Amino acid sequence: MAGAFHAGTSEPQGIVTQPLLQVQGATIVYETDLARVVAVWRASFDVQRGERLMVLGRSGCGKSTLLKAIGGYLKPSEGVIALEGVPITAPGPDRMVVWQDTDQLLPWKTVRQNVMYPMLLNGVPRAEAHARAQDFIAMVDLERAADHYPHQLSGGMKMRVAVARGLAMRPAILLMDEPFAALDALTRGRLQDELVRLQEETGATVLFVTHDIAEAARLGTRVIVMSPHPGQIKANLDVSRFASREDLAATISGIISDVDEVAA
Amino acid sequence: MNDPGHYIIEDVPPPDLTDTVKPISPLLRLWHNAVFRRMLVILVVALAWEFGARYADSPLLFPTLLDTLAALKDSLNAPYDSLWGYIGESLKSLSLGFVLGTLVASFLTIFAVNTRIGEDFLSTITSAFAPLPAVAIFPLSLMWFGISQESVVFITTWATIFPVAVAVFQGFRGVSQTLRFVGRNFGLKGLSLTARALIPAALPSIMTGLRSGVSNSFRALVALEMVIGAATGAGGLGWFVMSQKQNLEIPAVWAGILCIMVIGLLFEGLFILFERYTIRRWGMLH
Ligand SMILES: Nc1ncnc2c1ncn2[C@@H]1O[C@H](COP(=O)(O)OP(=O)(O)OP(=O)(O)O)[C@@H](O)[C@H]1O
Ligand SMILES: [Mg+2]
Repeated sequence: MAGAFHAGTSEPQGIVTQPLLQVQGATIVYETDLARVVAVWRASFDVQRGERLMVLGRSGCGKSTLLKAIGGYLKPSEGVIALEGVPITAPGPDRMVVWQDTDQLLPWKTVRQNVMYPMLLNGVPRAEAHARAQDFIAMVDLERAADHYPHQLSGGMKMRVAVARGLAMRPAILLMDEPFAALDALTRGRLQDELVRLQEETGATVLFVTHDIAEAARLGTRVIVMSPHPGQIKANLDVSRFASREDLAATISGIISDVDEVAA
Repeated sequence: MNDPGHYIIEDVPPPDLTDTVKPISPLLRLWHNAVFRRMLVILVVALAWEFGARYADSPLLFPTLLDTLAALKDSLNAPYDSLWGYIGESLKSLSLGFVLGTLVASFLTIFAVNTRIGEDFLSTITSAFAPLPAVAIFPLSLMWFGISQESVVFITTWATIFPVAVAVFQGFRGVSQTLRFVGRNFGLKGLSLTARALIPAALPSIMTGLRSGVSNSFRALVALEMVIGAATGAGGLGWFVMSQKQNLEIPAVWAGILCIMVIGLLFEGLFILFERYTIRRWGMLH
C-alpha cells in the first residue's frame, strides 16, 4: 500500500500488477469566498481492472467530490490520483462519467448520435463508432428509441443511454455518480441487474457512487464506506470475503452506525 | 388451474394500432399548422383594414387596403425610381449591420464568458447604453463617417451588438454545469467546447438575441433613413415613406409602411423555420 507507483509492468502473470487507479492520500478542498471546505480528507484506495467499486456514504460526505477529482474536474490539494500510473490532470474520455442528472445527454443529438459522438471526437472511425453504438444501444435495450431525441425519452431511458455512451467509449474506468438515485425502485432494480450483466460481459472497470447500502451490497465487488466532516474513508470491504450479500449489508450497516456514534 | 382468489389477472388484448390511430381530419391538421394560423391572423387584419377604411371613407388620410396594394404594385413596377431599389438599399444596410454587429457581439461574449473583467465590461456597457436609442448615436456617426452608407451601417451595427451580446451571454451562462462537464469529459475545451457544446446548448437564447438584434437594427434603420434621406435625397424604405409623404402620395406612404411590415414578418418567418428544424425538434423550445 505504502509504495509509490510502479513503472509500467510487463511481469509474468500471477505477480501483482499495478492497479488501474490509485488514490493516495488525496485531500480535496473547496475554496469559497467565505471558507475552506475540506470535502475529502486523505483518501487512499486502489481500483483493480474489472472491479465494481462502490463508494458509499451519506449525503455530504464527499463522494461526488472524489468522483469529480478522479474525473479530472477537481485537483487534489494534497496526495495523488493516478490512472495507470499517470497522475490525472484534466477530464478525458478514458474516464467516462455517468452523472446523476438526466440532462447529461446532448438534446440536439439523437440517442444513436449521443452514443457515437464521444467516439467520433476521439478518432474512432465512423463505421466502427456506428457498429459499437448499435451494440451498446441493443445491450441497454433501446433499439426502438435509437433515432429519438432525448426529450422523447423517460428518465430511466436517458440513464441507459448515458450508460451505453460511457461503455461504448471503452474507457479505462466508468465513473457513475448515483446514476439510479432518481429512478423508481422497479426500474432501479432492473438497471442494477443490467449494469452487472453489462460489466461482466465487457469486463469494464466501474466506480459507482451511492448512498444506498442495499445497492452497494448488491452491485459491488468492493465497497468503500465514507464518513462526513471531513469526508474520510472508514472502511474498504472485499466482497468476495463475505459469505453472502446479506452478510455484507449487515456489516456495512454496522460500520455506518459506528461512524454515526463517533460523530454524535 | 387453481383460483388464487386474492387477485385477478386482467387480460386485455393489445390495441390494433391501425384501428385506434385514426388520421386526423385535414381541417384539424391545417389548424395545427402555425404558418396557416398566422396567415389567418393576417387575413383578419387585412379584412379589418379594408372595411375599416371604406367605412371611414377618407382616402387621403386612410386609404383602403386595395388602394394601398395598387399603390404598392405601381411603386414596385415604376420604371424609374422603383420601390425595389429602396428595399434593396435598406436590406443592404440591414444585413451588413447585422453581420458586423453579430461578429462584434460574438467577440464581446467570448471575452465576457472567459474573463471576469470581460463580464464586467459587457454588463456595464449594456446598462449604460440601454436607455439610448441607436438613432441617438447618429450625430456621432455623422461626424465620423459623414453622410454616407458607412454612417448608416455604423448605426445598424451598433443597434445589433447589444441585444445579441446580452442574450448570447445569458444563454452561455445558463448552460448547465452537467452539460459543460459532459463536453469536457469528451475531451472538448476552449473554442471546441464553445462551438460543439455551448453554442447548441444556448441556441434558444441565441435565437432570441438574433431576433431582437434584427428588429432593433431595422427600427433604427428606418428612422435614420427618414432623417438622412432628406439631406441626400437618396436612401432606403424610410426615405421612400418620407418622400412620398412630401409628394402627398398617401397610398404610396401606406404601401411603404406595409412593405416594412412584410419584411419584418418575413424575417420572423425565417426564424420560425430555422427553429422548427433545430430547437423545436430537439425539445429545447416549448
Ligand atoms: N462547489 C462547492 N463549493 C463549496 N463546497 C462544496 C462544493 N461542492 C460540494 N461542497 C461541499 O463538499 C462536501 C461534499 O460534497 P459532495 O457533493 O462531494 O457530497 P456527496 O457525498 O456527493 O453528497 P450527496 O450524496 O448529497 O450527493 C459538502 O459538505 C459540500 O457542502
Ligand atoms: Mg453527490
